[in-house]
Amino acid sequence: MMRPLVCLALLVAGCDETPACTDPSAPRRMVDAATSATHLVTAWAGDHAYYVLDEPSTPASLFVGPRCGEARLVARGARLMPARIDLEPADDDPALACSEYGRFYRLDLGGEQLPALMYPDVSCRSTPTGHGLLVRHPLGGGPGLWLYPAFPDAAGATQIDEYGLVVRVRGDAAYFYDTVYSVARLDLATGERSTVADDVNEWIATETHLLWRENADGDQPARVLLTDASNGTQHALGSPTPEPTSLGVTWRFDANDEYVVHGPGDDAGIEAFDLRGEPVPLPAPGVLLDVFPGAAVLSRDADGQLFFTRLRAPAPVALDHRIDPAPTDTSPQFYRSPVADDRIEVLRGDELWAVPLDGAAASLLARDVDLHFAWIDEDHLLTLFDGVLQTISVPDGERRVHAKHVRAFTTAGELSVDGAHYLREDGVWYLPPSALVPAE
Amino acid sequence: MPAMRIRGCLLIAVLAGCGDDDPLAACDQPVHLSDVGASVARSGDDTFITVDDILLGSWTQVGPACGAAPTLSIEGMALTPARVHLDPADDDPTIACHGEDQQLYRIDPTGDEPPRLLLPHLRCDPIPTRHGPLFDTRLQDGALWLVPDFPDDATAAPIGADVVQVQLVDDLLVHRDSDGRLARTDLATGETTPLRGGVADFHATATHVLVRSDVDPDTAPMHVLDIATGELAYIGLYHADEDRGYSARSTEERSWALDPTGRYVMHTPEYPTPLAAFDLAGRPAAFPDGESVRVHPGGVYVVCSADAVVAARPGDPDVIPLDMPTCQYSSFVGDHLEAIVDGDLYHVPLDGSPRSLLAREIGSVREWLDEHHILTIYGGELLTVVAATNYRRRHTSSAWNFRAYPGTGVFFWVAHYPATPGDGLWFLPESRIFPTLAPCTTGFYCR
Repeated sequence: MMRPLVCLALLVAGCDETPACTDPSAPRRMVDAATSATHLVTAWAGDHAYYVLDEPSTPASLFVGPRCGEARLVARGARLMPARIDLEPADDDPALACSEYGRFYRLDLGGEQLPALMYPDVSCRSTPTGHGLLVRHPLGGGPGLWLYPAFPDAAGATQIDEYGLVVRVRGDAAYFYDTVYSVARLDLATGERSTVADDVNEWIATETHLLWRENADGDQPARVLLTDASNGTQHALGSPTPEPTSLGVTWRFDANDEYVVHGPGDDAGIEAFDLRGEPVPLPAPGVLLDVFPGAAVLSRDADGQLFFTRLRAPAPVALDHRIDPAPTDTSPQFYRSPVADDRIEVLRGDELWAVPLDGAAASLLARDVDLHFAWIDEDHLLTLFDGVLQTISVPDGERRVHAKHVRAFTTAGELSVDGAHYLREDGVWYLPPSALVPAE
Repeated sequence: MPAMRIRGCLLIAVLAGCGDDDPLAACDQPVHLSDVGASVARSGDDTFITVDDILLGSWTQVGPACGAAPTLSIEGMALTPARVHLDPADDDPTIACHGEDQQLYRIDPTGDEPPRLLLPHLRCDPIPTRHGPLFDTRLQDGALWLVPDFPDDATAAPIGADVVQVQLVDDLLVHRDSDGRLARTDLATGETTPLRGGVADFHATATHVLVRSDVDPDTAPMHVLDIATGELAYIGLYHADEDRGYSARSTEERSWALDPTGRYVMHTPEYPTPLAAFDLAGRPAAFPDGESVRVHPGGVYVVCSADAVVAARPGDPDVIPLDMPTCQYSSFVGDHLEAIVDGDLYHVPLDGSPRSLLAREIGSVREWLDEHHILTIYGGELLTVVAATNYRRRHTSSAWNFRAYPGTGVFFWVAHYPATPGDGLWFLPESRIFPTLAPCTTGFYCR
């Protein structure tokens, strides 16, 4: 819905070249500026990219430019990101930015003017849906929830609720607090609205179900309940517990929203329930780490031994890896693989290993891999090691060096299908997809 | 909920002449500016009227003169003039602060241009210094920034890292980081000198620093650090249960503090623990006990009790009874106190001389408009009182506060319970503040 604005912004930015890069296989400098920045954040909006260059002791710099054109400094000192209005970021207006404080700003993509405040009564931490933008006031601006079918046009906007806090959209369902302790559901397609649960302490939701913990006094045990939003049917899951952790961590839906998994984080055991509230056998030991697609969980015991357990399986599968049960840093202890669903990946020192989920022996994938790496396809990964940005061909260990003295790199998605950006002292460079992996 | 819509006509009474071409004309009579308890601030020739309320929402109106004909209206945020210079008259009226987000904006008071985000890495409540404003920043290293050429930050200089506490003493900035390292930076030269580690709290003068050691949050020794020699003198023990971070017992607002002369340490713990004074070597010094103290910048402490009020100086065993029964509704004015006694306002010398009547029937909310006129709220009425004659000009009833801007007028707030039309923020032009029919008994003023 923002196409006209995108086109206008492109004209303002002087992006008169076609989006296709002239040399699709060569690195291209997008930000031509000497910088001491050590941290890079990138984001796409429409056919433009945002580059936030950051370091601890100087103000962050935001550069914005067309996909294949040089970016200009449009804001200094602010970590602005594209405002998300449309479900599809490609349809968002690159000149409309969102601040960390939830304010909209209109950027001058030519870099001449300071960011201009826009829609100050609306939080840019709003929620795009297939039916428009769910809008709240900025922090401190009071309660209220509106639906703007064609933001920022207020003509067709409707107020959904006078309270409307904590909005979560799942498909066509929008859930929100409609009072301090009650959660309502709005069907965005039909406009049908209902209060799903009262006396709610915390909650998570799928398109069809609300999982919530009831309020309790102090440390008193509280029930966790699963409510079917279509008919109000309600089931208490497990026993009331006083556990202090939040839903979404100790209680989760599986990837298909068909089961609820509970991992209390101690020796109480991991349990699972179907959507009727019935327990489902899950012999997973120890502490819940992750819930995998296919109704399976990853857990660890007190020694850090990893287990992979499917629902209704007769026994857990011990994996060929242990993790530190009491880590002293926040580095990931395992990675879900975006290119293989039958393994997790772990770093052992500088080596990346594949740990099969069937319990088979772990195998070495690649050496000299940093904590920060990204898969390009199932045979290639991109990593920054000792300042060298390189593609590693996993089958044969071959390396392709893209650049040296690199401080940081980013990729747009789980797989590097959109190429990669990297930061050096001379600016930000773009590696198109074809540069990451040489053509066969 | 469209942004920046003009809602002035909803809030400004017909009296204000919404749409009047001449904003000054709208301010030559009492104006009802807002039907809610809006805040007001002046910057240059403009008036900022703001509301920042969790239920009512936030908005800003900026306009010339009394603000009755706003030229800039912003719905969704409350902006106030940014105060960055030692003399507010030097502040740029086109730079505003959004308190909620602590962001600076360049505004166009005419409303032709939207507010523009200015220096977003700086938080907009700096400490004004002779060398430019000193800003807290959003930088990851937690440094402060001295910005001599504000708003141009090209010459800005960082001070410290992870700074969590600062105190400005003339040109010296004493600062403590999150690891308890205490240092001092000379803002004139930029030179930083480490002073000491392991500090949880401090209070400084140009020559000494009173420090609380970061050994235990409940109990910790207090020392005085001699900056020149580096020597420490033990003073006493901090006890968290009676030495709160904020002391309501002293206008110094600290339970452990150096006195204004810098020669004594004062201990004003929670009542009824006795007040105490120490010299810089930690020796107990004479000081009377009392319920609370009011600290004059010259070093005199007014010690208040239920049955007596005395003036004292730390280390001086002689105390001076003051001619006032309580400290309630009293405040320092120059070298003396002004106190309300039985509803009347008195001048109370700090040397113990008898008090003298200034004006009858004056409220606790009061301000001298000039040497003869007092604006006050007495019995809910906003009044201008001619001190010499007690001639009174009534402005309104049910007022609860006001703010006077010499040369412009007075903004005041009215509230009824339950709320009634006419509540909220009003403006009274200066031409209507002063009595015009006062009998001229003295001859030195007649308006």
